[in-house]
Amino acid sequence: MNHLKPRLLFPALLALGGALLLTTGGCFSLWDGQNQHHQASSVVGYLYPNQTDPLPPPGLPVLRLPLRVGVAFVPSGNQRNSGYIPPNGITEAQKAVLLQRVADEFKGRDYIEHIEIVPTSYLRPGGGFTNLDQVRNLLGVDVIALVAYDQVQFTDENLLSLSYWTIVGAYLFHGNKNDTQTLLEAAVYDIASRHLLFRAPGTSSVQGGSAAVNLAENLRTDSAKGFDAGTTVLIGNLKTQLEEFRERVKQSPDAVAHIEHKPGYTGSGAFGGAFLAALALLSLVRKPWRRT
Amino acid sequence: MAADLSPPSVRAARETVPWATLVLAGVALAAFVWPDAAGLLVYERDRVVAGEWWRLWTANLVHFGGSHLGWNLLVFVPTGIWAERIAPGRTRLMLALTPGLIGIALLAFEPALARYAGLSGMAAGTLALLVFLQLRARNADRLFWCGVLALLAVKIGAEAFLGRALFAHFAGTDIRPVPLAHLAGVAGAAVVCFTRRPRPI
Repeated sequence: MNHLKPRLLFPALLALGGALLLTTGGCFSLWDGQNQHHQASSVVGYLYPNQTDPLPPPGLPVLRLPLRVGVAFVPSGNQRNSGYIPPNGITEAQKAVLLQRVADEFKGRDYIEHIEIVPTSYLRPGGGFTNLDQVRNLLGVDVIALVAYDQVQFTDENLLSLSYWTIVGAYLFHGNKNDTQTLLEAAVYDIASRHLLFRAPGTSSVQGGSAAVNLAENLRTDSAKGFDAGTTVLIGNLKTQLEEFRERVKQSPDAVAHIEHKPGYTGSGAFGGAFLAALALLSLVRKPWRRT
Repeated sequence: MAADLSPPSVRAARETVPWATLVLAGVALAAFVWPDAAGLLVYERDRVVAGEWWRLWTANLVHFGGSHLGWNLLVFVPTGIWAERIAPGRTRLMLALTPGLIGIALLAFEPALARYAGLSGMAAGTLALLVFLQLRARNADRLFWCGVLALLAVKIGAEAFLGRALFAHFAGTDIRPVPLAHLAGVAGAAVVCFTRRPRPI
């Protein structure tokens, strides 16, 4: 069995340490020197790009039932700052999936003829109502739900991030604590009259941890989770706001919106509780000994 | 075990499984929870004219809301089961033919009707068939069944005259009753019942 002689042990350890430092040591550039990532779009920035104090539209909206509804994500940026795409921004595929979820929840209502998912490519940053008029003519929608978003992601390093000085540590230890805050806002507009009919928010908060090498991937996953959870809340709030809007229209039609019906009507039939109660009353006169 | 001394027709009725009624009710429930059902199955005059003829039949199985479905099922299921137990052949024939008859009647005589959905025409048909079957049988309580028929006639007539639902309330403000659908359901029941020889109940 060979043993290193004591006089060779120290130089050998020194050489080994130096080799380790050269080959496995490193400094991970975390988050490109930033610890916050922000992506957002704005309904106001899209509809009123050059107006600081937009005036309310005159008159009342006229809603001709059943409505043809569009649903779209507002493009981010404005005319002056068009084309900005954040590195971890929500993709068109993700937007389509989220909008489909919203559309599925509102299908089948008698006052909605159909719901069209409007791709963001149909909307210009800062396009305003002129752009919406184009969408209206192209896709035949009367009302559009514009969905804007604001998502902020924070990442902070904790004590475990000291392990990032070694490659193994950067793979194994969750030295980053991530926090993703998402706000979605849907504003439903009658395109012809430029009136905001109602609006609803949806928020979510996603927290998680990650190792240095998985940081970007985990943040993308958290971003998608944030949008998904925010959409769930948004759908619930949209339903509530829609019902409240319908009640307002019923109670004060001259103050909220005029309702008209397109040529051709929606019809059905039903047997309500009163009919069943009348049947039950009738059954009281039935002779019990002749029941079949 | 005591012997069953009931008449053969009563024993046969007890043994009949009302599968046609249950299948239609199940399909109506499934269509209600399936999000795309309304888009594919509801009666839309433009699409029917464009060649989507199945909507004439399937419109009877989709509904505009939970209460719309619930109240219709509360009439359709018990009357359908009752009628199918005592006259299975005629009831199943009626259930197969009446949806199409309702759709064709709407297409032919209601040109202003753009959209239609609901099981109520079928429910009116099964209720009318049950009444007709009972009235043709000697052991039926004629006063009661005449009263049921009168109630149904009052409902259909009043809705036709008033232009609004008499006993039901629709969640949507823009839905109007279509008495023709109920009338077609009753007509389908009458045709099926009175064009075949009566059987003792």
